[in-house]
Amino acid sequence: MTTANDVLSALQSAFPGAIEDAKVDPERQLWATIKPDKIVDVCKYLRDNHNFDHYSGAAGVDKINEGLFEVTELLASHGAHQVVALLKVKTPRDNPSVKSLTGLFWNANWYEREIWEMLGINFEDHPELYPLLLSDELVGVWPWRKDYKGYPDYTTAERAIERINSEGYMEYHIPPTEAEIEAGTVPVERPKYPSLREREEMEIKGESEMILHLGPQHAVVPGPFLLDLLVDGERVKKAFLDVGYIHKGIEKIMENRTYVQGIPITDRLCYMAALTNNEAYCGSVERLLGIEAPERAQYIRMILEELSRIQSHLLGTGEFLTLIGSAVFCPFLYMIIDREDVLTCIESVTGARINHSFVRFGGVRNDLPDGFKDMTLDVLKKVRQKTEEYKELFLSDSIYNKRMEGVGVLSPSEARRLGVSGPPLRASDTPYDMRREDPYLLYKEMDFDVITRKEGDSKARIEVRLDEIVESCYIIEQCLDQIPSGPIQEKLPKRIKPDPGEAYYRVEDHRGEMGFFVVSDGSDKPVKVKARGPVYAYFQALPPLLEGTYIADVVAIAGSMDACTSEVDR
Amino acid sequence: MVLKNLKMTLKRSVSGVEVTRLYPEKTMDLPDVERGVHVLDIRKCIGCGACARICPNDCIELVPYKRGNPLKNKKQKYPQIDYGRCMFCGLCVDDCPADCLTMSKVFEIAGWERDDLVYSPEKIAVGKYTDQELAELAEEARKAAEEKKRKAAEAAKAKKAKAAKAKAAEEGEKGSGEKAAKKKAE
Amino acid sequence: MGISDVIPLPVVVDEELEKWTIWGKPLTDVWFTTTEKIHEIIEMGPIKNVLNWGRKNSLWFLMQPMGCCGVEMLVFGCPPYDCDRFGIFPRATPRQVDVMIISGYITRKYLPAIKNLWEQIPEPKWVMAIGECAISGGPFYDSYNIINNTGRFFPIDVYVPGCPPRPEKFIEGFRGLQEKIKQREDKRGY
Repeated sequence: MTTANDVLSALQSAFPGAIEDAKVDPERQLWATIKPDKIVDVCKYLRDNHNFDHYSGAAGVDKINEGLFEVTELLASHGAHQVVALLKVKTPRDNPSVKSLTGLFWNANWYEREIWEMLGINFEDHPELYPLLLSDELVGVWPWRKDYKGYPDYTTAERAIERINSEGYMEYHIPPTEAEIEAGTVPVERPKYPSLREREEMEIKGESEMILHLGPQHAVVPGPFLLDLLVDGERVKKAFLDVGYIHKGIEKIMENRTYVQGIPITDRLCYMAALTNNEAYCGSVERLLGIEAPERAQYIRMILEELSRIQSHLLGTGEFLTLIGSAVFCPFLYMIIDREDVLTCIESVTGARINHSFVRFGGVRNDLPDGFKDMTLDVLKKVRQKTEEYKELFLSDSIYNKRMEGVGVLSPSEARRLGVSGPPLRASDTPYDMRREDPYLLYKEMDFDVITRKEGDSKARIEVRLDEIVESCYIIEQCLDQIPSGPIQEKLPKRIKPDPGEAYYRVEDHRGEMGFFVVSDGSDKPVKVKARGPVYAYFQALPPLLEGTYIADVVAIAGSMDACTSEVDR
Repeated sequence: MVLKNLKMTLKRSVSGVEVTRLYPEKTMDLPDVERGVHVLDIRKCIGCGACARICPNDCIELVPYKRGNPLKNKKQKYPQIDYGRCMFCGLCVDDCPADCLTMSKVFEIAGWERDDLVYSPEKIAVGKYTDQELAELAEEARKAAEEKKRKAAEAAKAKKAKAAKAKAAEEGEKGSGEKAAKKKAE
Repeated sequence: MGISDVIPLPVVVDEELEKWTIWGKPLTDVWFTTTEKIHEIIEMGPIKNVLNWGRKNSLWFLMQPMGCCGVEMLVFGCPPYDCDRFGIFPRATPRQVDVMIISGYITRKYLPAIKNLWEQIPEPKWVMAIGECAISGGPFYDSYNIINNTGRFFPIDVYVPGCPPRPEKFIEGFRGLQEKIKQREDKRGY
């Protein structure tokens, strides 16, 4: 059993002098500052010798008072051990540059691109440093830097100017804000890069190839994104993904709100998983504050998060079935009907249907109402029975099976390399579940199975989701039996000011690993809030997954991932 | 095969369970914790502005309104909520020290114009005073203010005397301190 | 030009006809008519009421979920709330709809796309803003990437607040739009 201290001592002996101020806090997390020229070697050593094969993300922090940027790389393992390594690299604020990890971990690509476009930190040896989320006008202003003057922007609509671009399409030019012009921070020179269209056209090689645009608007996918397919006949040769159509700048907004005001904003990160997002954010702030919620509050959180998992999986599966046109739209309607029952249960506690804002630091907002137990048990009985029916209905259907079997296969090694988590990873025979891996709340005491499948195709992903619904029902029943009485909220001061420090807390979202990385400097507003979302990893894995498939299977594969664009764009 | 799959549909269609909520005719039973339109108990509100400060969307503004209790709320300012921006998170309700702001089960607030969504205290307030009560309260408030003024004047006098006394004492102490320092230096 | 120029009739008929009016307009104006004139007459008279009655009872909307409100839009179209009861029906393409629902945050990158969708909808058309983000930017009102005043780009007829609004509020919003069409007070004047 590897512990964080073992890893730290191994690192210190392997790279003497490269590790500055390292600590282990809490027991499974290893924090270390690495010398900038050694970061690739350290990560390679950790990956090859200590099984750190899961690149979980990266966060860029602007420490304007110290005059430097900090890039924190999050490394973890797919089940070999439970240590999370958070390795920090410092770089000066003028001309910032960090070595890229794309050579070691394929999925570092998007995380580093995002940090580049938001903070302007250059990544050496990065293969494609193009903007990911921002529109062209915002590239080069580095909006997440603390000295960016365009942030409180109340007049975006008034400043918009309509114009026709060179291709004959209408577009809007939005000039910089007055504050930016006054401060003289409007960039004179913007970075040069080929646009998405140019990159696509570079790839067209033969006469028979063409580009097929899917999106950005779609009728059942909540959240626009553009999927461009380079097709040769019926086969997809290459896929291009353009996201950022609903980029809201949540991380920037949360830096400018107090800790409590951040809770409702985390709901809007991914509306299907509002409760788990709350949980992840509150958990990381609780770590900063050094408090823990009372036992009853933890049970309430678990009950609601599992109920929320049921409704999310029901809607996700329903959407997927609509996307592939299965069984004339009917299962989707049935699933929505069942979902309404589950939502009624959640609403009776939280008071809202989708964006709950329910979890608080050190507790929850409301107690369970009278009669909640009976109502929930009734609903669970119904949901369980219906789920069995769905399985029988379309998983035994020969047309469905022929359509889904062997479509979009992710082998276990490929799935780990692409960095996906949650049901798609578990469908690829990797029992990686945060509830087991990094137990939060009271999941340690719960009895449940981690559902896995061997096949790794679209059908397996749906099966995993349906089985997880049944498993969630089982967890909720245990919680309802065991829930003690007692307080639901810790006493906290009115103005929350955590001590300076950082915390990382990850939970099992309905779609995979969700983590919040919060940096505090002792004031009532966080310095940095980084959300590491599961769907970000799914989206990044989508283009390689689509290569070589038929056009007709594209929606089936993309739909089986159960994507939520809002969380990707943030 | 087909028949087997149709079994579920047929079972559903004859089960007789009504799933449609007939909204405009019947409103469904909403839980007590439902977060709908705000209700302001105007008799309790002290106009502290805690709700406006905690609001993440900056949609609550304190505006002058004359139908409140002048004894509790001297500036006579009450929250006005812009529902075009409120996200019904409930932080204002949690933070209200006088427990006067609550959320009701009413949710029908669609408007034809953007300005229709700005709800003044007049629209969200309950327990408004009548004119007669208001006059009585104003009289009471005036009396209280006078009383306070008188007390403040007395307190100021007392404070002045105390301050003079303290000053004298301090000077004495200072003198002794200086003497001690001198002694030490020697 | 009178009717006697076309058909051999006594001039008296012409003179008589000039006195006749239809909804305040001389009948002769209408007699030798153009499409524009027919439209003018429809605008004035009770025929318009009949047309608007038809329009208001078959408001098909564009299924274009953009955010949290998009999830509630899915539910609004499904059995638990059953929008078909009011003749409201979701369609997936802008070519077949009457109402566009802006159901989320409009960003700098998405604004041209959604404007394009709006222009693809055939007349008569209406637009509804559902949810805080569509009305004023909502929780993201001060963001650098959000268009926080949608009313400047679209003639919004009904504003439905809520974050996200319950499916009942969608029904309420549509009923408001129906009432507005009936009273002929909609922004584009149908």
